[in-house]
Amino acid sequence: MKKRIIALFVAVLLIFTFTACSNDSEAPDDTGADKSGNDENSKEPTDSGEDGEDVEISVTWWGSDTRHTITLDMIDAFEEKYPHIKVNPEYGSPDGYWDKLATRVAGGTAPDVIQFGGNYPDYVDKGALLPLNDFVGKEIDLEQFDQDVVDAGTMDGNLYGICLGTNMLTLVYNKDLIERVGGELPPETWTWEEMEKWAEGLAEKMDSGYFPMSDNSKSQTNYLGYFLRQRGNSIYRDGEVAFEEQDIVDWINLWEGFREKGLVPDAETASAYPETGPDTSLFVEGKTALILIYSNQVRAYQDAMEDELSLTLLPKGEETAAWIMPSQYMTVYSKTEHPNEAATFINFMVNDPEATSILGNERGVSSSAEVRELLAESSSPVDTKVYEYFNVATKDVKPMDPNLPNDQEFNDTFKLILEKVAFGQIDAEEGGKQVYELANDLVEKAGRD
Amino acid sequence: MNRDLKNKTSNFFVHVIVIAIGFIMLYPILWLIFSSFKLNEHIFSDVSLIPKKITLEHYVDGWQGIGRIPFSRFLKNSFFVSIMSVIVNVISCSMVAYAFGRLDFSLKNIWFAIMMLSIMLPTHVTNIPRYVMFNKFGWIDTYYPLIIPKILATDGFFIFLLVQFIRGIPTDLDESATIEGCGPIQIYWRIIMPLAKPALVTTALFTFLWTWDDFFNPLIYLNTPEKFTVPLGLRMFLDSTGESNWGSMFAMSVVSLIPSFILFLTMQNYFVEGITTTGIKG
Repeated sequence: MKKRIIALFVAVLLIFTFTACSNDSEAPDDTGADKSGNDENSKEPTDSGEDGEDVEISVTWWGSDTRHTITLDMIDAFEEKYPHIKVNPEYGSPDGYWDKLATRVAGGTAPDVIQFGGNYPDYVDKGALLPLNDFVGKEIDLEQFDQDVVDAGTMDGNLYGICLGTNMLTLVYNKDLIERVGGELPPETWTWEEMEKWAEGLAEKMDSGYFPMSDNSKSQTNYLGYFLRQRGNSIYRDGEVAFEEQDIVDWINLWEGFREKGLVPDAETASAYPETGPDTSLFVEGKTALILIYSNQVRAYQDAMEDELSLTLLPKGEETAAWIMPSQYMTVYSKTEHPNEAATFINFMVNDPEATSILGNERGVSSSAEVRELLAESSSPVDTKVYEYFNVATKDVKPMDPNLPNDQEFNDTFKLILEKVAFGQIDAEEGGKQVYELANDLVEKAGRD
Repeated sequence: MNRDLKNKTSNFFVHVIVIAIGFIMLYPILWLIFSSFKLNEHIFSDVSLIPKKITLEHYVDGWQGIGRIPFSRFLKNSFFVSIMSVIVNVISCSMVAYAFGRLDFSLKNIWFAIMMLSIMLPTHVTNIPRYVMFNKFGWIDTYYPLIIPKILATDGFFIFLLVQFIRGIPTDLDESATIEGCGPIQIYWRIIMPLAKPALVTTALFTFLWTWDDFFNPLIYLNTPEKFTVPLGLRMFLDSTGESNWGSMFAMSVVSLIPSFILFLTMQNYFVEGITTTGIKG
């Protein structure tokens, strides 16, 4: 019996060695493919797209039903104009999109054209995206684009992402709720002090369980970024963390001050309603009157509520801090077999009058001045409010700072730390210290990879 | 008489408690069902269970599907994958279980231990090697990765379940079958399979439910929306970064619960038998 077991182990061992060998022999192939992907940097775009030759490209994006429908309509228009290019749409919900994309990039089977958010630099680091410099002026026309927005899609001198639309942070208030309790509507612009005073006035008139403002101290780090930029700092700038511990302590104290006065929900309620979207929002339940969201979310929030919403500017500080934020980018996969067709497709999507009128501002307000004018003519009341807000808010902006590397992890952990402070487990100083260390750790971690 | 009354009152209280607990357990599903009849703007802003205004529009919209793909397409895909998985799993697992339960072959215990280990191995460990392998086979964006592995009886849990059941079937039956001239294959087919029906039904039911509910594997292996299964289709109604069509998602969730529900109700008797008989012996 013992002999048999030994024989078995030897057999198993042999099998493993064989499989290992066969893997080795295939390995050079893989790296070869990798290299050719990276070499695209220097290579002229290949001439795979000669006229008449039929090619297929796959395009992936995430979004809602509305986005799927209009994007498919746009693809129909594209295929009509370029009959030799067939587009395979691969779309889904944002949940799972990133897991799936990461797997496909690792497996070398990613689609030719990929929609990204602000996180595209992570994939540039992985060598998954193709620089588009050589296509500009040929396949891709960026004449009408705001330079800021082109820059936002550029990394280390290479253009990787073509912006599909822009967003801004906005404060949204529940007009009907404020009027029902007999409060004052927010003015068009205000300072932090004026906002606090306004909230205090409203709090007196509200019943218990209602609050003037939603807790946006941690729902996303961009509000913090805005606060920091008003002091001349930022979350991340020039490749390093650009704030001090004290900045975070001040931010925490500001919000904990609001909480003590009952201007924002108590810690328990605030953690039950993280305010990350209409479905987790106390604001949508009609219990708070003011919330910070992105301009492209206004419509979803309005659709989820009966009360009428209006927009106002973020509180002013010492320095200009607002920025225009590209919402999504279209990028090309570095191992694509049809870079020219992919570039043609992206260009069609952002410049063609037919395509842009189909797509509207669903992916944010267009970065092309021409397209904006075209769209403003026909829009719904909510959209009109957003356009009006854009017209006012874009007058006072500074270029945006890049996301902190490993941005998602920063967001998640930042939220946990601030929750600990809200529940009194640690004090503001300790919270400031932890956030500062977290940011530095993440930058260091990104540098190591 | 007095005693009867006492029994009745205690019965009454037991029932009240059971119903209360049942209600708490069912509440999420009730909320789902009632919300599917609410207007979109009421789903999250109106706390009460009963809709202020009943609407069927979510069912109509949801059934029309998403991005040009009707919801029936997702249902069809899910049925295909689930039913294929059931057929393949029942055949392969029962054969393996028969071998473990009845036949004698070398290193049986070690093989059995390896099979048991495969149950304990977290699926996440095998995900990447599996993806790489199927990718090399060119099976990405097909249903093969979801069905073909099951031919090799990869669901150790069901093998274990069936082995336990088969061990409980008296060997006298096999012996008399041998005397009558049956070989191992005939014993498997004529004696074991009919007698193991409750365990087979349990296997089939669980395979169906697990495949029907599976989100991760279809997500990883399927790319074209036309091939998506129900869980992926349901997720497409939601967009956490923008507009979510919660109403349609709820409505279609209710629709996609129906097959599992019917299956469970009709197979309930077999199912309970399968679980209890294997459980005791285990």
